[in-house]
Amino acid sequence: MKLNTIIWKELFLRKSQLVSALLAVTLGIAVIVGIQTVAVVSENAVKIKMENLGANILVLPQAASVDDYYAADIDAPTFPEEYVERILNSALNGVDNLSPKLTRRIDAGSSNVILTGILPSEELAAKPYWSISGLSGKDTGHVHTGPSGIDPKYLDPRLQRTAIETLNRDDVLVGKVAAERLNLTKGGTLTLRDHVFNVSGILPETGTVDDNRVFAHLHTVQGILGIGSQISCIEIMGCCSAISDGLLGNLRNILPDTRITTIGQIVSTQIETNRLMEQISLIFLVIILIVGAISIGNFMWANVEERRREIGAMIAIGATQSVIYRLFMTKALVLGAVGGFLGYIIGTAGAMILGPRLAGLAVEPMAVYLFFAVLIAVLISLTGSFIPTFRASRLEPSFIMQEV
Amino acid sequence: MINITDVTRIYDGPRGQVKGLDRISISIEKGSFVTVTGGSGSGKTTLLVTLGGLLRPTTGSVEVDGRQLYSLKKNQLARYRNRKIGFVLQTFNLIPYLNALENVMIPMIFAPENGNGGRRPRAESLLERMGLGERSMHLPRELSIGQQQRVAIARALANDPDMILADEPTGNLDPALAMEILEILRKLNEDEGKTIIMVTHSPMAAAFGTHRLDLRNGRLI
Repeated sequence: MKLNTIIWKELFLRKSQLVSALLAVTLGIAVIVGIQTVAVVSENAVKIKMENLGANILVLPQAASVDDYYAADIDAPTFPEEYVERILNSALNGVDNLSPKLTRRIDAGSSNVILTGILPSEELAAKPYWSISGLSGKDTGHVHTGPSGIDPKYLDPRLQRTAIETLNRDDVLVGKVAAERLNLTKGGTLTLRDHVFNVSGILPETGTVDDNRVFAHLHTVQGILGIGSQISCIEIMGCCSAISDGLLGNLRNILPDTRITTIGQIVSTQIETNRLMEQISLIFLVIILIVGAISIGNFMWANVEERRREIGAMIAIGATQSVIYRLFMTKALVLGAVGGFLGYIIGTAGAMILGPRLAGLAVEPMAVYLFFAVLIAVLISLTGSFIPTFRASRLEPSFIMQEV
Repeated sequence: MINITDVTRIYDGPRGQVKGLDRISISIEKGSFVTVTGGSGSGKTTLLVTLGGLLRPTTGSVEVDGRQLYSLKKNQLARYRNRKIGFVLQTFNLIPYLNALENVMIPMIFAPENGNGGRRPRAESLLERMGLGERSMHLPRELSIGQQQRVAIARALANDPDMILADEPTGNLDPALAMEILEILRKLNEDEGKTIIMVTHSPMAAAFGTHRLDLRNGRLI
């Protein structure tokens, strides 16, 4: 027999007390895990929505306005393409994707087209600083818009956009309205300022300005227009709370001679909701820490009181203080670990059941929270048990005698 | 050899201070069977727990085999009790959720230097000696009072101590069972040379001792 035999056998002796003590920790942890799981999923949902809606931060030349961005006038101001590298090399938090563009309205025979030079995502991703800068974080796969890596099943499919991953120097992608106006089909050709492009695809109708545009490789467009290494804007997909946590200010520091603006408050409400959930989660965490520690402490206090004669007998026959600490703290450790584990299971199950119904979010279990759930529950349990254990270790064993 | 010199123990009670022991000085030879008698509140249990390293005297010294007992630190004192003293108490103080065998093994757990392997055979052997070989897997509540006291004696012998301190070991037993327990203690004294110090109310039990101490109001008579 070892000391653990005593701990194990005693643990199941008072089952109702054990269950009530466990319940406080378990439910507390379940609430935290549930809220956190939904919060993270919600954050991801915001991210996906942002990606599907397109860029939400625009970097424009100092002298340009958002109107210039849409009008694409011939003399609209530009700035160096090198600014893209500045952003990529700065390791800013919250920059998920970015897309440099050069846009100009030019003649195409009988009518005008808006020619937009873009860098396909493959070329951005191929740059070594892209992979080491960590700017794209876990989403290096979708430099432009696109659902890869994140399950978009709860998104409106009409809003989904496809990433342009590759684009040959002589290829163009034509918006739906522009294609109809210029009578273009896939596989045809389009001549712009004496440069013959192959029409590699007609983009599906989006209901945006993109429908009226012709997209070609940025560097080809720069060549045609004779404005080498200049771009008219950088569209940035900033994500979530980082936008309001200083991303714009940081961009302004890196690119002081530009105009940086956000495109509306696209998902600001959801960001605020996420922030609120984070704060609620924090408040709950504090409450749970206190209530859980008190509950476990109360259970342990009662346990020490009930076992006074037993503890006294053990001390009398030679249990040292460390033995008494092991008796109670091991018990607290087991209670915490079990409470944390059960809390994780219940919290995750709750989030998976309620997430889709209440928030319209498909929630997947987050294994990393199991570690934190057990860790927090064990800390709560050990903290709550410390004072009763200290008291037990200080018991005077002489009281177990018949008379003193 | 145990030497108690001028030991006084004062308790703070609700009606002021009470002297549990009042300037007691005695010497107890190794291998003695000492009985301590006296009325209720005479200080006999206080003397026993003071000898057992469980209660620090207010003044005076307790010396065992040339060592000042209360100069030891708390954990050293616990180890001393574990290796050198076996306690047999009136209320047995067995752990209710452990069976007889496990109860006997408890002091061995607190002496890890003896290893885990020998615990069970030694506990079985001690229970056999107490005539409880077939009851080793029973919980205390499944044993008779006499059997519980014999388990407590087996537990007291777990680490083969030099001294057994017994506090009214027959107080809860009928005369026949009391005789049985007293015989066990006598054998331990005579056959194994264990020093036995036994507190008792019973004149019959007191007659088992080779030496007798009578206390009144915390003083030796």
